Amino acid sequence: MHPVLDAIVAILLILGAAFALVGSYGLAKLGDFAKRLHGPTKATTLGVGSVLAASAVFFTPIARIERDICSVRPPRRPRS
Amino acid sequence: MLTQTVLPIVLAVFGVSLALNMYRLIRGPSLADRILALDTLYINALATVIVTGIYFASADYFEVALLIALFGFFGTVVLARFALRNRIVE
Repeated sequence: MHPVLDAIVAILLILGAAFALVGSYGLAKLGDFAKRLHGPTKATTLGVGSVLAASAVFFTPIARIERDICSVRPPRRPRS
Repeated sequence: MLTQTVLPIVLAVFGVSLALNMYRLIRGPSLADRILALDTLYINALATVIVTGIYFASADYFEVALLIALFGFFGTVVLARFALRNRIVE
């Protein structure tokens, strides 16, 4: 996969995981029911949105074609 | 390569958030807390399934995520209806 697409996928995955962790921590830690309600709603929405955006970038046809070529063919020798 | 490095960490973080959701699901004082914890739990499980699909580089996991989203939403609606009216079918 192209390094730019790879970096975009990695950043979106980390962002989504951080949002999900913050939302779940707020659900487990906050005191009142209304406080617990407002924590994970926005956080899980953004977390799942980031993870789905990462999967959309990961499964684009360009990235898949480059990945298949790189996984099948041996590394290309430099021409002398 | 960066994605392959990041993916186990992301799966571990989602596992921690699933454990926190299970804590609130078991501990929750009222029924509304448990419904909210179950809603957050299925959303995090959906994200975990998507990350697993990226990990194995297979697009077959999107159907699983779609079914989890569908049944999870339906279950949340039914539980909210049960909490309000004390019966599911009119």
